[in-house]
Amino acid sequence: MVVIGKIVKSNSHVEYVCQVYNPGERAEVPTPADYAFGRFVRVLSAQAGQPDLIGVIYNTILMNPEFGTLGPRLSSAAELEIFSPDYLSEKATLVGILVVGSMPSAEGPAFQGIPPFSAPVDALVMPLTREELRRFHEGEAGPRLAYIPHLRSQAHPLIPHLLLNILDQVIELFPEHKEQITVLREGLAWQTYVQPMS
Amino acid sequence: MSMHEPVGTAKGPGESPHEYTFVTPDVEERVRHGEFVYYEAVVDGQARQVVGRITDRRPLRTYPDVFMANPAVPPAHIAQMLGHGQGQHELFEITVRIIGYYDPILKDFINPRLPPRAGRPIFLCDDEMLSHILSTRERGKPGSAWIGSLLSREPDAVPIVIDAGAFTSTHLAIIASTGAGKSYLAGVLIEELLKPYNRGCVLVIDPHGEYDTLQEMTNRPEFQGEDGYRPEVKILRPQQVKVRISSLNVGDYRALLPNLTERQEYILRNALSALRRAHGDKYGFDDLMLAVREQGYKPADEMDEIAEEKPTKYADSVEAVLWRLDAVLRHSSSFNDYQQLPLQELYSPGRCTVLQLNEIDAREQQVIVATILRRLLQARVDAERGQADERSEDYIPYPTFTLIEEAHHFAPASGEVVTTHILRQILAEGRKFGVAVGLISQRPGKLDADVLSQCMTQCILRIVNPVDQARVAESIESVGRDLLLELPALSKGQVIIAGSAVNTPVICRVRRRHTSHGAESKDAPSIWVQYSSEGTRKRRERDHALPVELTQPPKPLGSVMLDDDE
Repeated sequence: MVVIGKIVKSNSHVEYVCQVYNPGERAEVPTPADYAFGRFVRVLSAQAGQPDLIGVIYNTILMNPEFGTLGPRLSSAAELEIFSPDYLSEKATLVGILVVGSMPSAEGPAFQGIPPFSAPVDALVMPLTREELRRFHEGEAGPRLAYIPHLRSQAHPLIPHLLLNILDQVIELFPEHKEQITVLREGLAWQTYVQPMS
Repeated sequence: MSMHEPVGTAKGPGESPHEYTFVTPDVEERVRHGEFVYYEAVVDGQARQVVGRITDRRPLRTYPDVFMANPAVPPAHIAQMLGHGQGQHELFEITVRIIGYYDPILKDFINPRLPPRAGRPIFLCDDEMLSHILSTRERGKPGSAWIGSLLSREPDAVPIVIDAGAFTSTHLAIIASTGAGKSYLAGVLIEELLKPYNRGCVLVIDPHGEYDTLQEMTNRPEFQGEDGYRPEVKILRPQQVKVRISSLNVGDYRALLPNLTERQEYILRNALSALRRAHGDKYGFDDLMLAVREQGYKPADEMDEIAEEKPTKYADSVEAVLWRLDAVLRHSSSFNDYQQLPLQELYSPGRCTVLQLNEIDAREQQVIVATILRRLLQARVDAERGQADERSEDYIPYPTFTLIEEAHHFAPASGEVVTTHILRQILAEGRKFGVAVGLISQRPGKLDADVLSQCMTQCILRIVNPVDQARVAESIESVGRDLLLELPALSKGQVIIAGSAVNTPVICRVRRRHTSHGAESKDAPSIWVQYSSEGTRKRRERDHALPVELTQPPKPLGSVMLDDDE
């Protein structure tokens, strides 16, 4: 499975920033679909036996040191590659991850909510496979979305759209419970699209 | 202290000084509107159970509206999906109006003026406790009237026994919309008054002829006393209702002859005064006519045999009064010269007399009731003061109870009728002389507010009309606003009883009558179907069939006879 990037910073116990690998940093370079908005990811645990954190990508930020440097440069890009290679690698894609639970890497029950431990710096971040995503959401009698209230409490303008995105994914994972999830989705869609206009 | 399980925890004082609130999960759904709860407090060094009635119930935790978007998906499933377990989630804030602790010596509730401290347990009153504190009397004991059972509990779990002594002295009002069961409740009350432990003296004024079925009391075992007592039920049919003309006063004539001019009333008043002076109360219709006539003509000179009476300036009015008196009284079946229903025939302990007025004109009904009540009050005043003739048929040495159906006809809010004054007088003074009335009305909005407010025991069944509800609210202060809100929601046979006959207002499920109910509505469709059924149709054809000879063509008369063959 492709590795998206590594944790470089955190804003809180549940809010992390992951730097996406640029071409040349890994053998397998992540595609934009791997770190798309709403993608569930696994933040690998550093300690054996400790479950991985499960998070969802809620934001993307592009880092570009050249931004604002409007004057002409004496050196061309080719020359810079030789004389100052670090400068070029400072361009980066950062994604924000909100942690919504944890799950052992192999077998074992998933946990939805705030995990007690945090991820270390440089922890690797991988997208969840479809099977893993289903396993994370499986409850006793249908899908489980216990992290939704926690996500809603986050003050970020993209959160409503993130929730709609997540619910669409879960509907697709659990078509037999579509009616149940749709009740939530419809309520949320109204609050997101219609209510702000009133 | 109590061994019972608490149903909630006191939260704090309510909006008024006599209210408090408590919080309960109410898993078993027992904490209903109108239910009785108590908290324990030490008052004057004694542990007391302070009882209150639940007046409001508000959920503290409800599902968001969006959870209810799809009727096929229970909101609990959505909550479960979001991580809420299967456990109890509902929580209610209950408002309680404090009634007080029951003092068995005073036989009343005393408000300690001390709401419970926050965090104190709140208990549900058990059936036994409620039976003890809600009913003023013990069932089956003298002075008791078993009406039914407490509505918020299982049928017959908490019997409601009201104080018959209270409502038969300080008056009663039964108010309800049509079909809510007021006649049925009145039947229950009459049954209780005629039980061997009460042996009441009851007169029912029955303008619709609905109370015949009370006759069943005579033979039913529930009414037999160990000493051989059995109630007597006397039905007086409209044609048996007699009022002596000499017992009518000017007010009665004013009612019988509406729109009397001042001059006509003056003539009548003078004539009646003259009659009383001359004959006391022993005069008849002809005497009355003569006395009125004398008001309009000067007598002829006795010495001059051919002289005629000379008309005075009142002659025209006198002729008008004579004509009207003649039209109303001469052929009346109710008013006559000699016969009068003796009060002892109407009122006797252990007897229920039903005065059926269903074929009598509404104005005559009012006059009949007014004369009876007037005579009754006078008889009781005389008896109490020791001025009555014990051999008289009108000697009533015992208290009486008169139940008046359609009371709004006899004390309307729209204006005074002939009965209004005597009813007001009885309601104000009757208690001292043992004259009590029970007023039954389906239109409290049309009933005189003063009259209604003087009835100290109130039985209020379902009332939907807002005007009637407002009249009840303004006239009956003993029923709290919270109970009045229940009025439109009451079902048939459910009654709010308040006032002096109960310790605190209660909502009661009326018990089944021992006798059958006489005021059932007609089931018109089934009667129509029955009318056109085969059997009924044939019987009708048979009954209406003409004799055989009438169905043949008439035979020719006279000498010419035709042969049938031709």
